[in-house]
Amino acid sequence: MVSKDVNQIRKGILKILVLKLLSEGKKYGYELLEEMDKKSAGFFKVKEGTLYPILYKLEDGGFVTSEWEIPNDRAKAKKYYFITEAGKQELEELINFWNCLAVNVQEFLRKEEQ
Amino acid sequence: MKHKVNQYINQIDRGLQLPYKIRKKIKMELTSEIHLRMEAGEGLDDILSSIGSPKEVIAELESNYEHEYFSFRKTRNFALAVWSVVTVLMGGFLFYSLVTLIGSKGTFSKIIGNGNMAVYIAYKYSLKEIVFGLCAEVVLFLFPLLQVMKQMKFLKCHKDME
Repeated sequence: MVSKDVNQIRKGILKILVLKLLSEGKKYGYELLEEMDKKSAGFFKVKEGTLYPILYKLEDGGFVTSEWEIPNDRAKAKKYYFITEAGKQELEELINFWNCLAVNVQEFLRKEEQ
Repeated sequence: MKHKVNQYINQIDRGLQLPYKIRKKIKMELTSEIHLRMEAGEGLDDILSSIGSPKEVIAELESNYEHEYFSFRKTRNFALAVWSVVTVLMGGFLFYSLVTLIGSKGTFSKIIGNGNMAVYIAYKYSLKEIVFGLCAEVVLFLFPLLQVMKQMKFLKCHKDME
């Protein structure tokens, strides 16, 4: 039960992280996985089965767009994701909400401990 | 190498109980990722084990597409129920036709009207008519039966993977 709750919270946070990484520039799926892993020192090591649904849902919501890029040097095509204006706005709102949530939850837990 | 990648991707694709649109996206993206990582020098076995076994990938994707997963299953079960009913009806119709045909030895007869006004009509089907009629009924029975088997195979295949 706890793991299910943790997963739900994690999924919500991952949405913020993906948008944040895309706000820095276009990225393809595996690049996102690697950066998330590296920047969180392994805490957000997610698999493709978790990342792709997040990306597709963001795309369906109009927060992200994607484009297949075929390089000239016979290398394999990459699907790049870009953040949209709606995505940037969503990210801003999510960050504000996250900051507010983190402060309030911390405060609540501290009071409970006392 | 290519065969192994295709086998891995197809196993995931066949096992996923998600709409075709989503499955297609996942298939393309996974294939691209595997090839990109291979081009970057990673070994295929390492790549596949880091992504996870097809069973693990399917479970993870389906848990992240809970709504789509349940509605997809619901659609499949509904299709199975509808095709089962059609199969039973067509089977019954075929059985009735066969029994009638054997009982009447290929003759259709009927008395229309009463008393002095009664008319007896008899018609003997030609072999061509009997064969054509039966073939049409067999096809009409086999088509829904094949659909039932297809749906059952699909659901069983996914149950096994679970």
